Amino acid sequence: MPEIGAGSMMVGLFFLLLVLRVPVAFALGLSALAAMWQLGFGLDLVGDLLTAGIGKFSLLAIPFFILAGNLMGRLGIADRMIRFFRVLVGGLPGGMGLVGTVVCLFWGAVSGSGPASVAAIGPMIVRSMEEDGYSRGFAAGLVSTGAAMSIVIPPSIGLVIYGVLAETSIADLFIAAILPGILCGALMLCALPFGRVRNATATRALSPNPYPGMSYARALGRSFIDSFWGLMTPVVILGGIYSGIFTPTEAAIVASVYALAVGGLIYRTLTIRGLYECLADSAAGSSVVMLVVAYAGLFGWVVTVDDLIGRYSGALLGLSSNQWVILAVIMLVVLIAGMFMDAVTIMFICLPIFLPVMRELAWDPVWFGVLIMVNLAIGLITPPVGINLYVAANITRLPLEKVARGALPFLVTSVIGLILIAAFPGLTRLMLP
Amino acid sequence: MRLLDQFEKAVCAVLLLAMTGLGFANVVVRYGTNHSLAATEELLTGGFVLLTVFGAAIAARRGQHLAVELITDMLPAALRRAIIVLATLLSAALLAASVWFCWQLVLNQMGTGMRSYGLGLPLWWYSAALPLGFALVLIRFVQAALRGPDA
Repeated sequence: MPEIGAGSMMVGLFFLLLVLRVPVAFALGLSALAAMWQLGFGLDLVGDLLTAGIGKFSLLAIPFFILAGNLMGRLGIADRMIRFFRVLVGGLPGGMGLVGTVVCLFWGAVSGSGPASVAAIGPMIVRSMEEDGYSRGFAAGLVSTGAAMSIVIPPSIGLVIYGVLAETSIADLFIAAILPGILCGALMLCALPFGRVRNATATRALSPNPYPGMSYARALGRSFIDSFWGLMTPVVILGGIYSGIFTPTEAAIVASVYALAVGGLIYRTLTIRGLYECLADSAAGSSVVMLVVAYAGLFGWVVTVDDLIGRYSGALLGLSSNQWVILAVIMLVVLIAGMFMDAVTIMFICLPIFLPVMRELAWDPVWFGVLIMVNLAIGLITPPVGINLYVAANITRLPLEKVARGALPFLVTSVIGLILIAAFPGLTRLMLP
Repeated sequence: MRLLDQFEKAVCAVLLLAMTGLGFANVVVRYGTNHSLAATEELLTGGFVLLTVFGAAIAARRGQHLAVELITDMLPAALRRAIIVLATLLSAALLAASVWFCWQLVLNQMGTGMRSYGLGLPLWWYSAALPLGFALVLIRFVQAALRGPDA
């Protein structure tokens, strides 16, 4: 065997392929195949590994949560939800900034994917915030960050994958992530005063009040009834999981059927054509994630066979005798990785190395998973490769730099949130039985 | 021709809708009777593998598979084009290899006659469409590279 092991060669080749613009999933597959070729075995297992990597019952939650989120987005529920929260808290200081944040968090409890959330609710929130005197860049930054919390607030595709990799209960992870997600959202509110460009009292050019001439209580009642079925979605998903009625995968299936029923029977906004497009979009969205998972399975096989894990995690443990230093290093690695790679790939590459460290230091796997997820959410809004920033730039027609600058105050609050969750592990345990 | 164009979308839509129905039926049965249907779990995961591969063809056609474009964007146009061609060829090679490996898997499963754990069906029934699926990803990926991704 040559000086450099097949595993290390594979990691190097993977990054080279990334630089060469090969899609991430294919870069994982190509470098793994090259390593198997060099090792001289494993190639006859490729077909098995590809299918085995995908065909896990827990991962089935992914297409269904994507489908439920897409259906909800298409049914006009987001619109009604924004109206409800506008009536509820829109009159408070901060106005639409507050509404935007709350809607993002609430949508996080419907959707499991960050970029999808930006696309679903971003345009409406940005428009309302602009009318209320916020700059467009700031509003786009708020939406990018608030929607990034979709991968922290359950349901979360990221937590599903973490649960599979760390062999930890996905239901526990979902429940544990609720409070940290709300904390990060609450911290976002602290950044709102920095976003007003015009004097708030001078501009009240909000689009017409959806419920003119009604008292607060009546308007609230009306908007609640209008948005009731959308508001119930998190109750169905989280209530079902929390009470132990559903597993997360079942909850995802039930949420899809629920969205179909609301759209088809109650609002009647669902057409056959719309359903067809929605199903195809969801399949494509799920495949973007799952193809990475499939080829990462090959990559992971080589990592295990070549004992890369032992070497890297050993080195990590040897860094310091202080576990907080090691945690800080791990968080920094994920933060930096998040600037360049997507969340799923980072988990598949980094977690095999971090998880043995976690077990060695007896950290709570649920707490660690929530920390990783907040960190990955931050990765969605850090340039140069922050997918949420791209989507937000796209829907607002702003240059990426403007959106990134708008997201900067929220980046600071999110990092503060991350530090708080790291410092108070109890936060993730409060709601667990 | 139009039908051929819509092929993977139709496959995915039918598959995902059927999986939703089957999965929901399983939840209802399990909740009502405390019996879980091991058979549906097998059908669902089998369908999921197919959904992933055929959905990947939709995504390939739309240029949705994530790539890091930042570094190549900083290069001069001629060099950038050369790198994009290289990346496309490498990706196409991997997809072609995936077709071949899945074909080997099907042949292997047919040869050993292995059966599934839940329904006792021949395993190759589940994998038979995979080579076709990966071939479709390959075709859509190359098509998108040649004429730019669909909107």
